[in-house]
Amino acid sequence: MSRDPIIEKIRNAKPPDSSLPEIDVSRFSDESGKAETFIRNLESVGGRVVHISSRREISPQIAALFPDAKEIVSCVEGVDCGTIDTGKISSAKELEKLDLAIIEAHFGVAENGAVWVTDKNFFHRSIPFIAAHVVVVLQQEKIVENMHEACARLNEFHEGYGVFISGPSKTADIEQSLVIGAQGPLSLTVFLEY
Amino acid sequence: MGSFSEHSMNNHSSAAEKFIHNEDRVNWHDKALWFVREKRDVAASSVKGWEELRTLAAAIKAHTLSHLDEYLLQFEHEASANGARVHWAMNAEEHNEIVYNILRSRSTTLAVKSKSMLTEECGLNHFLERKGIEVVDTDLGERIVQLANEPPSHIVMPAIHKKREEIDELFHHHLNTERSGGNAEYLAREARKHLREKFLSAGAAMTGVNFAIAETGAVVVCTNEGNADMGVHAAPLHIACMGMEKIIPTTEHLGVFLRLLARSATGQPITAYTSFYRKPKPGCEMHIVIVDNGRSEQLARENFRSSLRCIRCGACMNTCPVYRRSGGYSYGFTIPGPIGSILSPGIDVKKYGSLPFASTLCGSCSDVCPVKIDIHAQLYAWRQIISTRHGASIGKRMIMSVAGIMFSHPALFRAAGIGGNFLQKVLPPVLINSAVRRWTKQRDLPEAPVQTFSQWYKKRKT
Ligand code: SF4
Repeated sequence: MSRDPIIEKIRNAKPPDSSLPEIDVSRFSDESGKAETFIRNLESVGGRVVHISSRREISPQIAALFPDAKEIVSCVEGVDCGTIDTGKISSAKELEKLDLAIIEAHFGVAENGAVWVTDKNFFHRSIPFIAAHVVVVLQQEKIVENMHEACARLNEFHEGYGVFISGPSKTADIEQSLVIGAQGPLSLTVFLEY
Repeated sequence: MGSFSEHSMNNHSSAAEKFIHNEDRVNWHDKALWFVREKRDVAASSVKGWEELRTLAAAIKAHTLSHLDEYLLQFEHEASANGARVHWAMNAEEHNEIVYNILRSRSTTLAVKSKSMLTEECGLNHFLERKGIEVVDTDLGERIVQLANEPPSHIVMPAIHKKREEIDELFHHHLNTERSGGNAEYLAREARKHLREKFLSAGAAMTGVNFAIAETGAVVVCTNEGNADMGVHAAPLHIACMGMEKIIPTTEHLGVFLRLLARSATGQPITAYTSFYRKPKPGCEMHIVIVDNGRSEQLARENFRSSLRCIRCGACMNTCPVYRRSGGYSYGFTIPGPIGSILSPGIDVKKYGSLPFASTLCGSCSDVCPVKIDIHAQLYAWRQIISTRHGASIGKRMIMSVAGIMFSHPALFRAAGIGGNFLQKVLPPVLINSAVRRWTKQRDLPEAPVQTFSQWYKKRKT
């Protein structure tokens, strides 16, 4: 175990104390409308926004937007368009053919169109990645301005896993041509609830 | 340090010669990277207080390095309390042994791996393959270079040097795809299918670490493709490998870095996925390997320790006129470009002694660096060390070689608009002329820049 020798080497090598700066979050606030900024940024990273005023609208909207989806998992209370028995699933392999996953977000971030989701929002961590298409339900009032506000909130979450998701998976590794849909979902739609 | 000659080292300029031989490719490579640099500029200018953010990021990292031992121990404590196992590796060999032993304990024969420059640095893939464990890199760019049996040529865009037609051939050969003329969408879809099979059958998932948070014991991984998460959530075993400088004090500090990283790297406001792995999923194992491998030596070097602030965004490569023209492989080190040229001499000054000379000292790298490393000043400081110890003539010859790279393509030279700056700083005319002769070979001498230079030089003398 090299822990002690490494720590010893660091103690001998490290510079004298350099002070930790205060982060004055107010200096980074630009007072633009949070919802509009969120929508603009989400669209710029390849995501899509659907406005809803009640959760009852979700199931019919999904039927219209994803007519070919067969295997659907809903992890959102009150949205019952799921088609597979989630109680039986214990491995990612069983989710291989998942067409659509519907999950709820704790909050969104205006400056980059990201949503924060954690273990509480799904029953298996693969769900937001293995599904071909992902729908995220987000209440508009839960959008924060930037990553300073977002990170300040993260210590409220003690789950084992959480992720900021900003748009669908993507790659530009072939001559810098953007392809939406890399190893994760091919599309990401946020249902923004007023 | 033993004897030192141009023969004993990887010479940047002779390695570059292979790349710059193909003028079209150099032109294309240069443009592709400059395009990314421009996207970075747009993203940076859209953030209120960008310069203040850079100052904060630099100060947070400087503070962390001055208490590195304490933060690492705090991190170990928290991560262990979360149910992860923490390991410490003094060097690459120990890192590889630790990873191998974990994999062997679960009888793993196939491991998937998301992007990690550290495991490249340690030569992990070849080590594991020799032990009979298959490793599949799952970032598309990394998979491309893995199939081509090449290392990444860039830390964020590993296959930036590859043309789409070459990728088409490579996939046709290894993945039995149709020949598509290099259709990016088709090739990416085929890679998606191929990699999904691997994700769902792997016995372990390895990841790098972008940030490790001392306060919570979480490791944070940023990807666009979702490949780290596809691997980690499907496999029973997660091994995260991190250089010890990846630590930051708290989640609050992370906010600063997450605002800077993707904007500096590709111009995106954030990567598609920023994943916080804190506890293993039920019934599964999570291991974190903390690696020194020369970092504590770099920490001891007063003039060079700030290089450990690096968050591996790649911006200094995209902006570097020499990198853009000479390609990542010309550096012969895992981390190419300006940052690699100040890290590598600390590892082996004999082998990498030419790299600090692979620069025009234009300072563009320091200007874009989100953690404000004074890269060009450190390049200059390494040059002085190398020239003092081994004679100024070596330095002069290598500076001349850089001139050759700059002059090898007159259109680029003009487009970069850095000629005057570069020349004033580093070159007497006799060197330029001989460098141009040496590097242009059969090509005609580029008229315009030489004339411009001569005019400038005449004016300067009078
Ligand atoms: S040195 Fe700075 S610009 Fe270069 S990769 Fe590191 S953080 Fe990015």
